Amino acid sequence: MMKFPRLLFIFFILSLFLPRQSLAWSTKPLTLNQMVTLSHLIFKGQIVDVTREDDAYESGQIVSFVTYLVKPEDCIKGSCKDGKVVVKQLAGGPTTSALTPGQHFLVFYPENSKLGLVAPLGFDQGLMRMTKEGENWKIPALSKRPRLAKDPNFISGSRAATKVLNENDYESFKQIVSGLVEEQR
Amino acid sequence: MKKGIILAAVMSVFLIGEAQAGGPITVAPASGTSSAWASGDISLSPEGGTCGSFTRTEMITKIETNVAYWTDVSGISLTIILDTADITDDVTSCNYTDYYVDSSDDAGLTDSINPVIFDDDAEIVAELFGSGNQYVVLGFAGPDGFTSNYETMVDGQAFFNCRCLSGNPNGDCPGGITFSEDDLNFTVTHEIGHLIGLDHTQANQALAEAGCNDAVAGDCDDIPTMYPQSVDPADQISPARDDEVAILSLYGLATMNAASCTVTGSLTDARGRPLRCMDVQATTSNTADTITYVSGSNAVYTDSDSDGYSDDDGECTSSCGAFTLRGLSPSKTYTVRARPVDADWISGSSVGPCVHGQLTGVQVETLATITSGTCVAGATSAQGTISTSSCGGDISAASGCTGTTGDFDGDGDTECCSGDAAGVDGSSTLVRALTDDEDQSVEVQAGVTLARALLGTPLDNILAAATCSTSSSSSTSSSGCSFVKNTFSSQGSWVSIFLVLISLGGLYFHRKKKSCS
Repeated sequence: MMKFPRLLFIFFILSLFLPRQSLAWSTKPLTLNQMVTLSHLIFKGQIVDVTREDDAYESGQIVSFVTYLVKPEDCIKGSCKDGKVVVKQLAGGPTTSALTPGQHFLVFYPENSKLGLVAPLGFDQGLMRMTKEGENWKIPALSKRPRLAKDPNFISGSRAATKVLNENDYESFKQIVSGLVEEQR
Repeated sequence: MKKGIILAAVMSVFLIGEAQAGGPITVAPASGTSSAWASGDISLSPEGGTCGSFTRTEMITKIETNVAYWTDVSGISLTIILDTADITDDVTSCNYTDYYVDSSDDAGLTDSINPVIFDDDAEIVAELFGSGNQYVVLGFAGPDGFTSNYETMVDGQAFFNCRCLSGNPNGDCPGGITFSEDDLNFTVTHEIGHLIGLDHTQANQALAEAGCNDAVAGDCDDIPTMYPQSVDPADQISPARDDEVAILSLYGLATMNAASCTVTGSLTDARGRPLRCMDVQATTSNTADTITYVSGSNAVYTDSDSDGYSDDDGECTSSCGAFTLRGLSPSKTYTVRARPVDADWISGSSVGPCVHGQLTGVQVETLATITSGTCVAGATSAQGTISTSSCGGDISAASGCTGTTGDFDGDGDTECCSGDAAGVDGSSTLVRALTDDEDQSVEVQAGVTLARALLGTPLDNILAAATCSTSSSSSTSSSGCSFVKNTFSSQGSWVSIFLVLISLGGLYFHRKKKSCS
């Protein structure tokens, strides 16, 4: 007889508390060389769809995922031959809500984890939103990326760092990244 | 009972406000109130293992030392204690789920355990964010439990990555990547900042972009602790003024307000609509004085498209363009400017509430000048509604524009402000096609909210719609109604693929726990 009121009380107490992840991160800035080294897949693509899922698994814990369906348009490292990339990312902040279908990005992705999860390399560092000016695609100015700006030796070979730092033309940047990919093979 | 709680919890995630920049990491949606811990008395529970070459005892000392950067802020009412008896396990990738996101667990919400985990080999980071990120992500943290109105935090967690610390027995990291002890100290302060309710800021970003010298103490003192990257960690460990204002807003508001000036206002775009996601900064000639606030941070929200986030079209219901700059010194002269939030920071570092579509067509503008002596301690300088020349949505070529035209990017040419009616998304052709035809938006309802259908998220909801219009943006298929977006097709088979992968993810979790048990 006493058990039911106790359970009811516990339910009442628990109902006052609600879970919701609001995770945020800190990262170490990478050089472009390091970004290429750690990336499993580098491509320019367009987000086709975004879906959020909340999963309750065996322990009763809630884990939220956001899945992106991305159409690769220009593969620089790794294989994009399937014509689509499915990216499943842990939710918990505006990481995911900021991205919507139709947007174009140049992305650096590390290898998926054992759980099938992945996030752009260094989060912000590995996700560059692209814009189109006339017929040309532009990426954010690399001079805005601190580590690249402060490390004149961030790129190997004979290419001048200053040229890269001021470069926001996608085709030019792609040539540089492709060169690094070749060098690292 | 547990199922009921889980269901309630799942439903509840659709209600909360999003992270803010230079301020609170969460906001109660119904009130716009910043979320904070109840009594300003927080207990942290460090795990039982080590962090690279640092012993548990050394790590506890580090946490105590670096947490004090927050609790020692003048005027703060915040106490953080360490309970070293709660978690004696060495937490690894095999058992971290016993602590991670445990807030839906019956015990998790009431045990008062806020775990602080040392990811010694970075297996946890690698598992959650992909293998390469184990060499990049220094840590992550935040609250994960709230009272029912989301105004009070009741549970939180913090993870520190120890993998690339020099002397880590797991060996060197690739590409010459190393985490210094300063990186670790910065990470502790920064991540505990998240756990107690702070989000990132982009204050003094120009200093970071200009490059700091790790070897020169004090050259980047004014890069805030809550800046998303460890640019010059030794200088970032101690909070900048922007950090202090953010923490005092949660745990010392009355004291701070009494001693300082507050500037308020509300931004509108060129079309007269509330302008969200502008980084409003009060600056002086000294970068140490910089204070920031992202417009709309404390707005009242709904989650009309049920995607769990509150930053989409029409979801902001009031105070959408409002800003509040606190903690200004009455004896200083400030320039108040609006700047766009850096696109870099909204994709993974939670400066917001923003979506990418809001970041184009916005300009740096001076909003006001607060001269010395005009805003006294304890007073508020109300700037009212300020009309800006920003677009507040995507801009495109002026030809064929059916909306507002103007020089929204300041390049001397005329552009079209092509954000949709709500003006905060501007993401795809589909959005605009649907908003151009109200009849069509009715047809895709089928129990789905209009905003959700407009955004096409998730796609299967649109596919399940009973009827399909004959407009140029849609076509009929055997599976029902499908929409052709831009130049490519959204195929049902692709939907199936990622639904299958979602299921596989669940299976991975299941296997993972079994293999470690």
